[in-house]
Amino acid sequence: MSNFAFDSFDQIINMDGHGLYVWLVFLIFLISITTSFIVFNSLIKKYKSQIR
Amino acid sequence: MRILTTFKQETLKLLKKTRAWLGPILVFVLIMIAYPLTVELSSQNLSDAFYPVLFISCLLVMMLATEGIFLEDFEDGSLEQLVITGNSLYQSIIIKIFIYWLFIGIPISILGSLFNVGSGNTMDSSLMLLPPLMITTYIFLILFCFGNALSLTKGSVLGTLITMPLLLPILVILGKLTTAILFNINYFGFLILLFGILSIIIFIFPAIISKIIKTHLE
Amino acid sequence: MLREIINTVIKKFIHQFASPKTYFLQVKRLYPWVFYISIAIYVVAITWGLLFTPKDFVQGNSYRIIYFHVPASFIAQSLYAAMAFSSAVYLIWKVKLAAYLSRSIAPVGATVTLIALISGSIWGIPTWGTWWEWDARITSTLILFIMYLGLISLHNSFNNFEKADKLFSYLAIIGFIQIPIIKKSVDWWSSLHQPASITISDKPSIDPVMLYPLFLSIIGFSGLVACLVILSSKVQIYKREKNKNWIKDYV
Repeated sequence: MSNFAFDSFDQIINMDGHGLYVWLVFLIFLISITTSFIVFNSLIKKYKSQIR
Repeated sequence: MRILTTFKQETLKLLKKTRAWLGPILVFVLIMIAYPLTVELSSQNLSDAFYPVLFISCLLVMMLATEGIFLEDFEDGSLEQLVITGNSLYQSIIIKIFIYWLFIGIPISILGSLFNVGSGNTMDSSLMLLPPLMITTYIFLILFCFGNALSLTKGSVLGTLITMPLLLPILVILGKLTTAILFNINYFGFLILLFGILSIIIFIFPAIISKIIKTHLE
Repeated sequence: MLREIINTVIKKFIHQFASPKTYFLQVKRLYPWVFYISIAIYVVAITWGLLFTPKDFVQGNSYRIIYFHVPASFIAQSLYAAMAFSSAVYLIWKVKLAAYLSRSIAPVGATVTLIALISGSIWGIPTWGTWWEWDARITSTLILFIMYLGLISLHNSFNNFEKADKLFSYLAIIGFIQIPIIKKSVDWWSSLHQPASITISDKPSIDPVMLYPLFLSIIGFSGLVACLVILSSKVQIYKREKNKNWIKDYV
């Protein structure tokens, strides 16, 4: 593993001006994956209750 | 012998419905008339964007032409009868698509290359345009038949939605071919590519279409 | 002779392992393992990629989007291949489970393709100065997304599930033509998009320091996507087999 790429917390957020894009993609990624997990789980619950 | 009778029957069936074969051609002519009206009248602009409009209107017209290609036969039971009596559905589909191409695809290709002259391109480019147009109309017909067979009773919107993605690679080839024609480069490579695609799908897709129709009949 | 043997072996296999009931049991045992291990791998990969790799000489820090974009676009295509494969299995051997699986892959594939598209277009802003370009790879990925949606709408428009399964499988197999086109589109058409970072035949074109977290993120993300496919296939099985007797023991 290589060294830590940033010196301070501000730099992690900023990333030389590219931080907005990187963290935006990260957020979209996180949100879409978690929502799809939630949607599928709720669908399973719905069909389970129908069968009961 | 039976091929000949099927051929005759299908021709009669198509020609009896004027809407089915003349309609798409007239729509094509109307689009071709509508196009110059939307461009400011200087011939340079007209000839520049003519090819994309031509190819896309070919695509739309083929979509219109195949809209009810299997639907009426399906609803009046003649497809079911064909399957039950043991006749080859595969054969009749090949013939049907060929006839549609003969009566809709070829007139559209000829009209398209005529309109090409009309919009300020040279006669040579028109002659060069004719063979790729003929091949692409056939490819479009086959692929839209596939889509419409899949969405047989559910309307042509669904059929178009599922066929269009398959057509886009062909449009890319057409775009390259257009540049070749415009700059007078040798375009036979693209023509042979299109012909190769056609010769692959011309016999494979009817088999798949007949399977799909049998699934619908179950 | 050989064909008969193969057929009997396959039929035996199908009877033993490919019934929805056994699938349920196996999945129940496997699911937590896959879920937690892939989450762990993915978290490691992302922290490594985002915080510990050195910054790229040309693209600066914006290249770090690669750890989201490449797994998503790679898996979007692989999912389609998997779907076409299971559709073929359904059409050849009439395995019901394969039909359920291919139907359940479609929505997951659409989601992953959408992620790939969005992350790619955001990546385009700092590197190319444009968020959308009608270039080969982007357009063909958009087509892939529309293919997934078309497949879903085709399946949903038929009330008869068996018919819908068959039509779905035909379309999925025909649509598989798109995958090699997407794969090769960067090489064939003139394009802004960089050539693939990792290929099997050549040496990877990126530095190993950046490569290891990329591999890890691909593995972790495919594990997460596998979990999503499992959940989605559970939905399908509950939906389609709700009148069967065995399923009442599993609710």
